[in-house]
Amino acid sequence: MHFNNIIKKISAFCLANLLILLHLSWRMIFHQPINLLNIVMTVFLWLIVFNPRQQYILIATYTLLVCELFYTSPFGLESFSQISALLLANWLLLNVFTNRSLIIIFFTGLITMIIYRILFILLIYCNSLIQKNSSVIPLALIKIFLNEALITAITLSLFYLISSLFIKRLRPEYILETSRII
Amino acid sequence: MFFLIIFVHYLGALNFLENKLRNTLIFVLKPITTKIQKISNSDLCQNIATLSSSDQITIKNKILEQENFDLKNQLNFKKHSTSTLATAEIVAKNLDTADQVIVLNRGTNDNIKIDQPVIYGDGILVGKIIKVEENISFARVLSDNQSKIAGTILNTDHSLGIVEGGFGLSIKMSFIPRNENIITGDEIITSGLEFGMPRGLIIGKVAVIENESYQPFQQAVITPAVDYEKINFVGILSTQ
Repeated sequence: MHFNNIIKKISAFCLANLLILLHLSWRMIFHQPINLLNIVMTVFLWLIVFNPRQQYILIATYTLLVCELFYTSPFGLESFSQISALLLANWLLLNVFTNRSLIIIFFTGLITMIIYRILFILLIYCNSLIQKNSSVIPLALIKIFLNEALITAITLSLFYLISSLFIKRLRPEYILETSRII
Repeated sequence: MFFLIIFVHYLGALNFLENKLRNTLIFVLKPITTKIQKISNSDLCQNIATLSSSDQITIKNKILEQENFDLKNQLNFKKHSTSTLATAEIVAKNLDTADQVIVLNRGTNDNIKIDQPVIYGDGILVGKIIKVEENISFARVLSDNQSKIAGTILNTDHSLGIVEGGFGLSIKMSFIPRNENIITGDEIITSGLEFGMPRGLIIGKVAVIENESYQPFQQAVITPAVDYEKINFVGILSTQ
C-alpha cells in the first residue's frame, strides 16, 4: 500500500514535468494564435471537471511554480492568479455549474481564464504601484487575453467531448443502478 | 506552503535549485524543439520517414549550411565591430502570451547585463536583454509591445523616431515629424541616441506610411529585417 503511494507520487511528478515540457514546446514551436493555448490550465481544468481532487491543486502548484521560471513577470504573480482561478473553477463546478454539459464546460473554461487574467492584471497593477512604475494595459493586450481564453475554452470543450466518450459512456454501473430502481 | 516558496524565492535561497531545474528542462526541451522547428523550416519539408538515408544527409547538410551561414555573418560583424560579441543560442521562449521574449543560454557567468542589444547575423537588431540569471538571459524582441528603441530612417532628412512593437504582430516607428519625407522601402537603423545601443544596427524597412492630417506626427509600419520566429543563434553586444 505504502509502495503504491510512492509510485503514484513519482508518476504524478513525472507527468507534471512532462506537462511543463509540452507547454514550453507548444509555445516555442507554434506561432500566434495557436500558441495562445494554455495547455497547463486546459489539463488541470479537465482533471477538475472529471474528478475533483485536492491532489490536483498540489500538482498544479508545482507545475505552475516551475513554469514561473520561464516568465519575465515578477515571480509568483502568474502562478498565484492561475491557482486562484483553478480553485474558483472547482468551486463553480461543485456549487454553481453542477451540470456537465458541453456548454457548461466551455463557459467554465472561459470564465476561469478570464478570472485568471483579471487577477493577473490586478497583481501587475499592484506591483507597479509598489515599485512606482507606470503600467498601462492596452486594448490590444486585452484582445490577446480574450483570444487566449477562447482558444483554451474551445480546446477544453473538445478535449472533454472526446474523453467523455471513453470515460463516462462505457461504465456499466449506470445500467445496473437504473435496472435496480426499476 | 505556496507563499512560503515565493518568500524563499525572493530571499534567493532557491536560486541553485531553480537554476538546476531550469537547465534540466532546457536540456530536455532544446533537442526536441530544434528538430521540429528545423524540419518545419526546411525547404525539404517532406515526409522524413519515406526518405532514403542519402536524402536525410542532404537535409542535415542544409541545416548545417544555414547554421554555418548565420555564424559566419555574425563573425563578419564581429570583425568590423569595436564592441565584444557573445554568441548565444535561443533555448526557449517566454511562456507569457503577452510578451515576445526569448530565452538565451548566456547569463551573468558570461558577463551579460541588462539592456545589452541582441543581434542576428551581420548586425540585425533582434531585441534587448531584460533579465539575466546565472546561466540564461531573457531578451525582449522588437515586436514585443513593451519594446521601445530609438531609430532613424535612412532618408534625406534622416528622420528620427521611436521603434515600437505591436504584440508580436508588427513593428512600427512613431513620432516621425510630419514634414519629413519617407518612402516605402527606406531602411531603418538604430540611431544610437540611447544608452548601450550603438548606431547602425539594422531594424527593417518601411512598409506602410501613415500620415494623417489631424495627427501631430506620422508613423511607419516596418517590415523586420529578419523573421524573429525563425532564428536559432544570436549575438549579445557589450558596448562600452
